Amino acid sequence: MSYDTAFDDADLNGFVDGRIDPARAAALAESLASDPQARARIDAWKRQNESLRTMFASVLFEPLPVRLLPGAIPTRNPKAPAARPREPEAHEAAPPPGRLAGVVVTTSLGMALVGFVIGALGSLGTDGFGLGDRLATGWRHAAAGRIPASGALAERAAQAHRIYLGDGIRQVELTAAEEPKLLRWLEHRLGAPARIPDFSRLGWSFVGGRILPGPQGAEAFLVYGNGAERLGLLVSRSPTPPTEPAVRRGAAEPIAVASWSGGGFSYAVTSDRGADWLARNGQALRDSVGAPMEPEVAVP
Amino acid sequence: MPGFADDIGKLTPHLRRFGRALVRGHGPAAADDLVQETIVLAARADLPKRGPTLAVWCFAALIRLNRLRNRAPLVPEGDPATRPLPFLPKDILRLDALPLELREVLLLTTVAGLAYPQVADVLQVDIAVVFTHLTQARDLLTRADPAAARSTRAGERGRPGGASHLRLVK
Repeated sequence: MSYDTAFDDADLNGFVDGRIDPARAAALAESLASDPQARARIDAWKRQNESLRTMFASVLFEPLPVRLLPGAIPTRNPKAPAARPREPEAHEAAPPPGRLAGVVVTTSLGMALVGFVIGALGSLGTDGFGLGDRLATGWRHAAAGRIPASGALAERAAQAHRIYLGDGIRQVELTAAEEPKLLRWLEHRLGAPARIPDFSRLGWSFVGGRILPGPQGAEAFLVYGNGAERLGLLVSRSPTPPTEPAVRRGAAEPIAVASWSGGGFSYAVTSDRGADWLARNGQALRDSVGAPMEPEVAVP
Repeated sequence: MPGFADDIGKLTPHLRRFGRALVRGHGPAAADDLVQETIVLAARADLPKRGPTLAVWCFAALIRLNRLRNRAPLVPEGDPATRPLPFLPKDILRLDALPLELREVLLLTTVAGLAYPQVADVLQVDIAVVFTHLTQARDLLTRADPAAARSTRAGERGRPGGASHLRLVK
């Protein structure tokens, strides 16, 4: 049984891309087993595939720049009617503004995006982009259950998250590698002995931090990371916000914020995993923060 | 049109990734410029575009825009949108050495993950051309990669009686 001459470019490429039927692939694999030269060639192709995919894979997980968010797209010319009436779709019952907000939430929500990407990878070579299926209903709830944004601290934290953590180049001023230096800086600017809260038990490693301007002077913005995801912690000396953790999210705003205060400091944790995630994990984060900026008794 | 916003929203990260792989220098700003232009064009076009059709249309538009840009004279150095990233891995440099039409086929298949018929649609070529170009691109990349080329040659040597067989045929 010889397939040597029967395999063409379509077979070889389909084999490497995993897009030919299993029987054909098995026959090709069998023929490769007895042909080291052809096998080396196909192995090299496979390695190329791997490296091409991994080289640019991280782009999918980057937060979208504002100019590419659906809200930034100019709407289609309403004077040009669709060539044929569109089939009514269930999700079109929702009011357009909320729907657009839902899209913003969708594209920026880390979890939703991860789920979508996994789905897309699963269907590689077919549709690839999940455009054939309808909107996941869960995303609609995220937009519908909108909580009006209020609280200056939460606003500032969300703003810091948007500006600094959306920056692909330099998210922090001083990285975790320079923690002693960063700590001295924070203590100097906040005017109090400081400690970097440790969230590693919750799966978040310290990335770094910076000083931000606040209404009562300098504030510390600390950043934690879990893969491509980021968590921000704004620490302020102004003890204004409520003492109970309150989770809020701005209108059409994918960044959820939980804030509380204690020990003369106010804290706001920001996450782009969404308000539900933060509501579940806010208490654990708060417990981990403990009283980080309070004066510590030095143990000799 | 809300349905369009949904679809384009889902497609945008994929367009960005493909754009990043395709543009000269692989800078995020240059790639996002292409994606933005693509989205604006797609939003302005009158045809009702949804689902996979929209994906094919957008990738085709992005490729056309990139070709135009490649034909344009190089922007003076120092423009952050076109300046290449300072540290490009060797794999990327080898990729950039491929002729553009081969790179387009290879990236549409591997990075964008389009099916072969869709790749053919995007590039407006016959599917047989897609396969030929893919083979060419992959072989050229292998030849440019010293490590892969070595292992291919090792395969040649390892082939039992390979060399003598070739001589006999000659």
